[in-house]
Amino acid sequence: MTDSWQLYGKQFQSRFLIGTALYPSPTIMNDAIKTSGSEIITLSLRRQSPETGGGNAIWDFLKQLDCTLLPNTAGCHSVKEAVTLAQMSREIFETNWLKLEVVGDEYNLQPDPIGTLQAAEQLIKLGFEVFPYCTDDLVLCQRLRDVGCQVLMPWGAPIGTGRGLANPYALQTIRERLPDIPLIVDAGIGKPSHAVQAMELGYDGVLLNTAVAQAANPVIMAQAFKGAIETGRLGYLAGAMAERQTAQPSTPTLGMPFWHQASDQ
Amino acid sequence: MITVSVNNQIKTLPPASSVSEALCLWDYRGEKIAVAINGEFVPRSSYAERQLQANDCIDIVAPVQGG
Repeated sequence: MTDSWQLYGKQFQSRFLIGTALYPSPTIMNDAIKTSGSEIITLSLRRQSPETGGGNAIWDFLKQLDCTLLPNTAGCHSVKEAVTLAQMSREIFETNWLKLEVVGDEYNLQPDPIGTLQAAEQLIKLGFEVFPYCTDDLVLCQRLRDVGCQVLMPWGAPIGTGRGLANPYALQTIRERLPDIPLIVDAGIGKPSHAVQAMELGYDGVLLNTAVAQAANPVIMAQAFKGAIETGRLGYLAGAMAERQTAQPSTPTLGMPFWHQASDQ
Repeated sequence: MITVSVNNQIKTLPPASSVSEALCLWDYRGEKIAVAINGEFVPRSSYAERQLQANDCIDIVAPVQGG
């Protein structure tokens, strides 16, 4: 069964987007990403001194993965910071794609909904194709779509917590109200079962990093998430049965031996 | 000489230096980098003509792993 999807006009087979940070080593990162089957990787920009090689070493390493790049604006706390870093990112990575992150709170790294919306609007006018990392607020998601975001990435839970889907109801509501826009659960996923749940809700993809990179065995965990995302997707496409309040036998009762009408007894 | 901040470190350079000249001076030759001055993006195409001023805050970034 072919089940490709499109993000800003580009077609992909894998629904697993993976981050490149926090791995025990570059070799393990390489093996985990290849095992994941991911076609899209996230990366970032940071201040570099020439003594550290100016980022060339890691860039060379990431390039050979031959994945589509989704640079982020992680760590930006204002619209201006995010817009400036986005422009720097576009020049370096030569892509209009941008995972927009505007931090609103230091404690839980919650995205700033207002700043994210304002930055998205500015960046889209500058020609960026914005993937906003946002909270699971329906109206915010609608506004982000209205300003031109063609993909939305609500959080499952705060970044790096591994808590899974903190508010499945909110995520499901976004899916139901925005049936046509690609939705990716980004952040908070810790276990493959969380990814299954996200995909069963009808989400189009999952973006995660820490759950693989910080697993005891990142390569095997990458394989587990790959399977989980595919399984959840198939479950969604297959259409789950409706829940029932009461038990209903699955084995036919007709023809059951040892059963007699009341009059025979 | 003028004083500027580069990635939060104070550096000196001759007055009227361009971004291109400053990057050479600071050994950023041929690196995969991008530059912002005082919080504003400076495109690579303008490195040669953009002159640095005293007390400019310069950010020089390069690719890193990210989530």
